[in-house]
Amino acid sequence: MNPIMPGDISTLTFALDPTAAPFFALFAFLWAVSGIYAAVTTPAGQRARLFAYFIPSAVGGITVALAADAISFYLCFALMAIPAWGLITHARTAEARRAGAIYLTLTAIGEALLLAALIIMVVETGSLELSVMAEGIGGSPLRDVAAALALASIALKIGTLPVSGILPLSYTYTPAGAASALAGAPAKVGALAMIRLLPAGSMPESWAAAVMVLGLATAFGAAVLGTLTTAPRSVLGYSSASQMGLVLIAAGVSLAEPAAVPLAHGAIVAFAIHHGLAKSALVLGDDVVSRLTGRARTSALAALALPALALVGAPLTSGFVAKYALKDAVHALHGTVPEAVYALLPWTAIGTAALMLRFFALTRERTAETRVSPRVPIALWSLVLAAVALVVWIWPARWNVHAIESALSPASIWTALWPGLIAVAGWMALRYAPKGARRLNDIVPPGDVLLGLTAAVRATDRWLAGRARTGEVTAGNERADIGPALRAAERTAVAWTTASTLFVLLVLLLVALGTR
Amino acid sequence: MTAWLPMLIPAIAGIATFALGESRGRARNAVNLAAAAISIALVARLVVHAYNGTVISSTLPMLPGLSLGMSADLLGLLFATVATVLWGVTLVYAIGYMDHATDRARFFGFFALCIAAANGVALADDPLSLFIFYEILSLTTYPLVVHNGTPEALSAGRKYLFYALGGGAALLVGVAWLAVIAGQTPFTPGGALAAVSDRTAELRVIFALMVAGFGVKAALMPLHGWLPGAMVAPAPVSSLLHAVAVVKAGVFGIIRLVNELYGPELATSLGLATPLAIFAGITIIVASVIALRQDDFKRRLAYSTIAQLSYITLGTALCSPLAAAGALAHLAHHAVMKITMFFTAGSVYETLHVKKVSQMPGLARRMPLTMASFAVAAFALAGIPPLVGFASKWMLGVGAVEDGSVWALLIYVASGALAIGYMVPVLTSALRPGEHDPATGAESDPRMLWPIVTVGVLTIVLGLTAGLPGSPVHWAMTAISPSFGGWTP
Repeated sequence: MNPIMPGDISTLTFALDPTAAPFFALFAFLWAVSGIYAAVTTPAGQRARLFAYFIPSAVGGITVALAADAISFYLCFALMAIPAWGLITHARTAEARRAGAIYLTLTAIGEALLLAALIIMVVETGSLELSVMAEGIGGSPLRDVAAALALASIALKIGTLPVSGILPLSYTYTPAGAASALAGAPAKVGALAMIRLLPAGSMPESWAAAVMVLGLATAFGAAVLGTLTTAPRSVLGYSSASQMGLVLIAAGVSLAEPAAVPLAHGAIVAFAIHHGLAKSALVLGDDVVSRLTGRARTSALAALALPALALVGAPLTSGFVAKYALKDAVHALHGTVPEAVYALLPWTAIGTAALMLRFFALTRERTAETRVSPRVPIALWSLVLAAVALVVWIWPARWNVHAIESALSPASIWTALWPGLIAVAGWMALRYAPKGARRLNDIVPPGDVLLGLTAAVRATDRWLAGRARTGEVTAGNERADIGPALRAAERTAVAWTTASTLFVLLVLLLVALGTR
Repeated sequence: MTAWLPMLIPAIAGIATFALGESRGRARNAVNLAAAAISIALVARLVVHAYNGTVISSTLPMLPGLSLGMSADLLGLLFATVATVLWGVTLVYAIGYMDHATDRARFFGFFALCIAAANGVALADDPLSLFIFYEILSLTTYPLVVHNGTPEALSAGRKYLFYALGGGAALLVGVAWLAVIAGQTPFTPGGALAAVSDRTAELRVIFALMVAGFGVKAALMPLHGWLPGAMVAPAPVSSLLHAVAVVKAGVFGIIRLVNELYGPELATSLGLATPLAIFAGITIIVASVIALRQDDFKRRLAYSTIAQLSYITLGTALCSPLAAAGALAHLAHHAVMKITMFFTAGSVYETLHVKKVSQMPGLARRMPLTMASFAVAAFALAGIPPLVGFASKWMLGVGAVEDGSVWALLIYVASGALAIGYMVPVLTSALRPGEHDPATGAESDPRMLWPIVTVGVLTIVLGLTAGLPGSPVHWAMTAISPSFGGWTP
């Protein structure tokens, strides 16, 4: 059998290659910590139901990093994404169900796009191996189709505009432990796919520019949506979409210029680790705070500042390193668009800082839910916090070297600080602003345009159903009137068919006799 | 003579069932189950022969110049195996399902005759023989569709007969016309019409007539109208006939027509393959979209079947070896997946009188094994690896791209997403807490439950073993290879 056939189960290949290593470590850590957190915090009666979905999702979500061939990758991707529906709808509320339905619809579309991209790449390169496929697709006439399909699939996973709503929807209603996994890991599979599937260094510059612009637009747009939304986790969801927009910029950098590919891939990995850990820490922290009162609560809120500052990219945080790697990558390109993106990049941190302030405000308002001292959750959360603080600095790679060298230079510290200061200033100004401006908050429900889209689809469906029903009724009435006539017509038709059948049979017989 | 037996044994069982009458239930069941067991053993033997390169065939002179021929080649045996093996499984299910029903002699008699006709279609050696069994299949299915005798059933039956006889007439005109210009031509891998390939206009019309004939049973839009209506039949009929034997006879006819009568080359050079592919592509998308909106469980499955049948038609019409092999493998794979689903539909109806998706809350707890089997089949149908549907979808997609038809690949993946769209709501509805919650005694009649679990497990096993010799994938590639000049993947 040739290499592009689907084999039996024994042909699935997994490998811990240099691309896989950081993602595997990240996914395994996040799913494991989140799993323990979920096991401890979920009421005993609901645990089985939650873990029936959590375990397959975790298995897929961890092994996807190791998948070395197209079929394993698709399998793990599906195994992670589809059962996540059960985590999202766990609360069984109407909102959770709606979120689950939208999530599953977009996931199904994303899966289809991914499969199409994979099949084209497999056929064009004659190999099932992911590394060979990404290398070889650059020279194929179907390169653009494959890249467009892969990018569309990735966009659905990481929530670029206009589907940013998929991220807040996928963890606003999810129980905290599971939400921490969903916040940290699945979108990073999109980042992994950027490295594994996109034809690096062999696309036209216009593609690179378009992808970078989309990434930048998402970074800004999702931040705006997030500051206007209603729940702490929803803010975090939009923040993820905004951050993944930055990762998409790195993916754009990798497309056209071969020399920039290592830098771009380094930035993608740096961002994946930084953001995966920080976002997971924020989701867990939000839950821990809601379980505490008094001084413990104040300390927890203070500790929550670490991942928040990291996302903003404050000096000495993981975000500082990740943003440095991204800037280095964008800086490697020349031309109007890359230079404009480079100039606008620091401004995205204003949006992130605003998001984090909003998140803090919403979390502080949350009332304490239990008074029992949650020791294990705090311990687990501390573990993630420690990882946020340390991992990007000590990870053996090239993408953090430059950042470590400049960590203490005043210029870079200032670059990392000013967007945050602007956001704080804006926030203070808003406190003294008229009430009308403050009412702007809370106008975006988690899911934004996706909710509108769903409502539109439902309305169309109802309209169609209404039409069909009226149609049926008329048909029924008519049948009552012209029933006998119809039956007579049918009888005639059947008789006619039988007669013509016999006639043709006779013709056949004559032909047979004639040709003898 | 051996080549006739897969057709004759079920036929004899059918006649014996009529002779035994309504009262002797045990004898009737014994006869049918024994006939199924013998047929399965026999087909297995023929498969071993065919795999070793000996095609057993036999011809029966009918009229001067006309004869009936049966030939146990790998292509036909794939369909015959699917029909015969699933007949055995369905018999067990049907004995449980029809436990309290009336007119069981008529039911099981015609049931066996249908399988006889389907095996006849599978092994028929030339267009005329195929036509004869195709017509017998139409006629023997009618009593099963109208079995309940309700006005609704009778109306659906009339519709079915109307479509079937119309299609049969078109097919017959095509077959007769072809006999006039080319004589009686046995199916030959790669095409049998090389001698008359210059009569392009006539060959085009004949192809259209024959596609119209096969298209009725293959539910190619706009010839699909009878299938959703025919869902009024008892569940075993929907399961075996409207997911396996009858509808697959249609697509099998198209496979024979394209690969072994015209041949992929002639079908392409006459410009016949592309229009057929376009019809199939439209059918896949339109039927899938309609399936999204069906609340009636069996109708939802029926529209899914219409879409999936056109998977096979489209794969065949692409005239690329891998797509053609994928189409043939999908004929077997879809049979296993869809029979699981129709078994489920019948079981929830017979046990709890649930007919609609919206009535399902609580079902997952009330009938866990049944719904788990359904879930596996549903994800297999959506093409999630490593389940069985993925293997054929992968082959069809790869074949489409190799052929340069990226549009066909996009149709395949889009319909996979749509399949998630129309299958998952069934599962989410069943998973909600609801009225069926408290488990009262057994899940359902074990004679219905275990066939469901068997075919459900088969969708996993066939998926895991898709790359091994003897799997439908391997079998289909071996069977299709001669039509493409001895192609090997």
